[in-house]
Amino acid sequence: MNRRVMFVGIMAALLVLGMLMLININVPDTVVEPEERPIVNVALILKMKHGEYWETVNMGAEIAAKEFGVDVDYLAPEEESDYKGQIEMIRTAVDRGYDAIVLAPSDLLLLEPALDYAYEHKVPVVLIDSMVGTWKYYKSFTTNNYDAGERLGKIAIELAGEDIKVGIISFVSGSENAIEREKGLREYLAGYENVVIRDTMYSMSDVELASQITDFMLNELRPPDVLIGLNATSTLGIAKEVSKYYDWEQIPVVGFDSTPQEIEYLESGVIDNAIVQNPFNMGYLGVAQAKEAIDSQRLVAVENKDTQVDTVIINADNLYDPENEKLIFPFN
Amino acid sequence: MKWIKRFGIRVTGFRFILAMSFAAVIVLSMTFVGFALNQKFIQTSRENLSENSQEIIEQVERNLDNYLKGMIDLSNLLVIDINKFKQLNLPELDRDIETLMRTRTDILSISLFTTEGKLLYEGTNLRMKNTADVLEEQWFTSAITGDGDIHISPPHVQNLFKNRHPWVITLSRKVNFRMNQSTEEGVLMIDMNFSVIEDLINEVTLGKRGYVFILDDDNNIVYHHQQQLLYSGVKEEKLDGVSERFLGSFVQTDSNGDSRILTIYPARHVNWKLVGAYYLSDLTAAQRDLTQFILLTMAIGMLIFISVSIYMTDRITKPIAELEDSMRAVERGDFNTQIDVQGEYEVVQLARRFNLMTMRIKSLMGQVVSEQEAKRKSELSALQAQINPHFLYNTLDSVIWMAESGKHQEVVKMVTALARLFRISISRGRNIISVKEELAHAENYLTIQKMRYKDQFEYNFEVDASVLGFNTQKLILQPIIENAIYHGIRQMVDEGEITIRAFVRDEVLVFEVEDNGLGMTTETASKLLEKHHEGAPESVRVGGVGVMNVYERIQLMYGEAYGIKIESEVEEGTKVTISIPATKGDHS
Repeated sequence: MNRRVMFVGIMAALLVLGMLMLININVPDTVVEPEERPIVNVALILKMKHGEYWETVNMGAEIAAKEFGVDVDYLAPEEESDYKGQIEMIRTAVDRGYDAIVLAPSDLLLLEPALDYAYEHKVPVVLIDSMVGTWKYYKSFTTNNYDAGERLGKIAIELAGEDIKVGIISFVSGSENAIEREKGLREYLAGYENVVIRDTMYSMSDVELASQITDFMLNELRPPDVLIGLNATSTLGIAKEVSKYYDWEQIPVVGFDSTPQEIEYLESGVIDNAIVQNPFNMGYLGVAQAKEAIDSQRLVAVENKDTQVDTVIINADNLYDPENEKLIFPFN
Repeated sequence: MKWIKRFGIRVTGFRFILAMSFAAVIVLSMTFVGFALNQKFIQTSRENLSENSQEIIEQVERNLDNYLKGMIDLSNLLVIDINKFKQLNLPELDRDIETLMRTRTDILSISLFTTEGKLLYEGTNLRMKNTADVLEEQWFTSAITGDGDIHISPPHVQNLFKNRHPWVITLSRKVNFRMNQSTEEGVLMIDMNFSVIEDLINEVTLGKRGYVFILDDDNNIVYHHQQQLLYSGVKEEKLDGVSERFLGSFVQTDSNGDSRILTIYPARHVNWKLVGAYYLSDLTAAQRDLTQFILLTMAIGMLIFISVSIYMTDRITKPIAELEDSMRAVERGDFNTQIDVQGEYEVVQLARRFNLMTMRIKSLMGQVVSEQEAKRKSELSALQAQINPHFLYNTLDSVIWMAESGKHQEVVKMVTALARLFRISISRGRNIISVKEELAHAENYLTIQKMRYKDQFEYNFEVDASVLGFNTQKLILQPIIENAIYHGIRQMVDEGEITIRAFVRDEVLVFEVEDNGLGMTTETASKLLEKHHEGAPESVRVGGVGVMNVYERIQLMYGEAYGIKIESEVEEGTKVTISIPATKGDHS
């Protein structure tokens, strides 16, 4: 019996020694931990491939991707109006097994089937920039467009007075953003009975067209006392045209966004004030919340579903304030 | 505790206690060591982390310092370059700067301004904006008032030039140059692409989530990789404890409640503090792995050591258990048990002592037995020697009487019988004689008694001739016959008769002595053979002692299976049956 016990003991000791050696090899480095995490893939589908605004969205998304350890793929159609391209991209992203989609929808209603498709396949969608007409998304981070419209109106009154004619150049008639901004603007101005609002005209996101509309407006019988552009291209078109006038300083221009060209018009004072959105934050929050959706395994958030990202008013004086500098000039 | 008993282990047993003590010591010590190791590891890894962090931040600072020092050296060269001309020679300066710019992509512009803010020279063909006003720029005013000191700005957007809004840090210093025979003052500006510094900062890794950020001497954030998020309030960088420190590490809880180690290191040339944040959660995974490893090692270790301890306990306690078994055998009376126990010295000694003790007890017991036997034997011899003197006087009286009365024939007969009787009695000291001799002894005795009692009785022998050669203890018939005569026949009025028989039945040699005398009650008969007779007075013994003696002698010699049986009836007679083993002797 003694021998048997001794034999078993020796075998056990050898076995354990072997195990210890094996484990010893796997003992991790004290500081760096080579943890294998499952890769999380997020598709970032934007309205347009190019443009500083979207590049900034992408920058924010990349910062979030790094922070939360997700892989972000950047997709967008060539044209902003190409909602069909977006539908195709959403479907492809779902089919390819992305864990979540961050979407800047180019249309309020037409993307619904694609969102249904994602919902059916249990792929959470986080909306940024604009809304859609369905509830089948996780969360949304949109520019507070109505508020932005109101702010435009307020600035216009401050610049030009309460007894004015207002010229509005919008961009695409069906755009949710355009509709909300104009609504906010018009409802604010409705509070002033002596304010006359000229019929809204559309630049179709084309600078040249916006310039031509501006020229047209300024040569009307009663030219507008203040010109308001509802997006970057419209504002730039207005500024370009206004700067040609010797009395450009007398024509208040209020607009949207801060493209490099707009900044020069802001610095020179052609554009008096611009409302700046926060694409960086939207990109960041979009990816951050996509990660949250994946982790919580929900397709629709329980609370804080819709967040409106506030806008900032910039002008020649506060352009280079530290808090605006980063917003307007994302790091190169 | 019932289950333990079921396995045959006694809770109070040596083995159980020993094994349990071993196990307890092992478990406690391993737990202690494991715990200590784990704590030490956590502590060490935190210290390592802190040191690591410190080293990384120092490295960043060194790189930053090298870069800025290079820039300062460059600005020194440019100052010399600008000073060397009697008249500021812009084309020549331009050549030098062009050569420089070709190798240095990180320099975005080199410009020279008058103290009034007028641009004298720009090295990279940038067009200044009409709206630009350097007098309002902080780097410009610092250089003017700084009296030749080198000023390095925080990162900012350079907004002097058309169509370009790069993030730069600006080196500015007052510079003298000669123009139109007079020495003028101006400001030299070098814009360095901030992305170079950004890369310096971002190329280091501080765990998975860690990062480096920069504060100025007023603890404003100069650079942070999530600066936009901080400004818009999406994120918050908690600076508790950072503001009052300039160097060193400390543990802080960030705005999300995560613990992190912040390491602060001041930068040279600029009034910046580099702050490295390392999240402790990056450590916990490694810690968890180690803790698991330690737990596993402990479990396995305990398993092995407890098995070994059980084995050891068995080895130690087994000889003791063997000892116990042997003792139990001795307890049952088996004094031949000898313990052969292998094991520890003490146990072996114990076994040896026990063996010695058993042997001693055994020899003592043997001594007692032999002494007893010797005593018996001496008693026996004494008895055998005790051929009743009264019998001898009486017989000799009878001989004298017969001689006086001239009965010569009778005298010869009696004396002959007496001589024979004694010869057989003595029988050369032998204890065992043949049946023939025994019967002859009995007959001689009867002959003498018959003559003495004047033919008051008759006797006859009914002997199976085949038994004559058998062995028998001597002098077993005479006492019985004596008894029959004295107690059975002597008081009889009628003539008595004694019959002596000898035969073999079932391997047993049987003698029968039957008389037709007075007989006795069964009670009396059984009393005759009762033991513990010895304390009785001599007078009482007279009758019984002979029979009793025969009985004892037979039993002593042949065992309890043999002995004497007495059948008697009052007024009818008595029959005494003696049985001994039938063994053939070699008597001549």
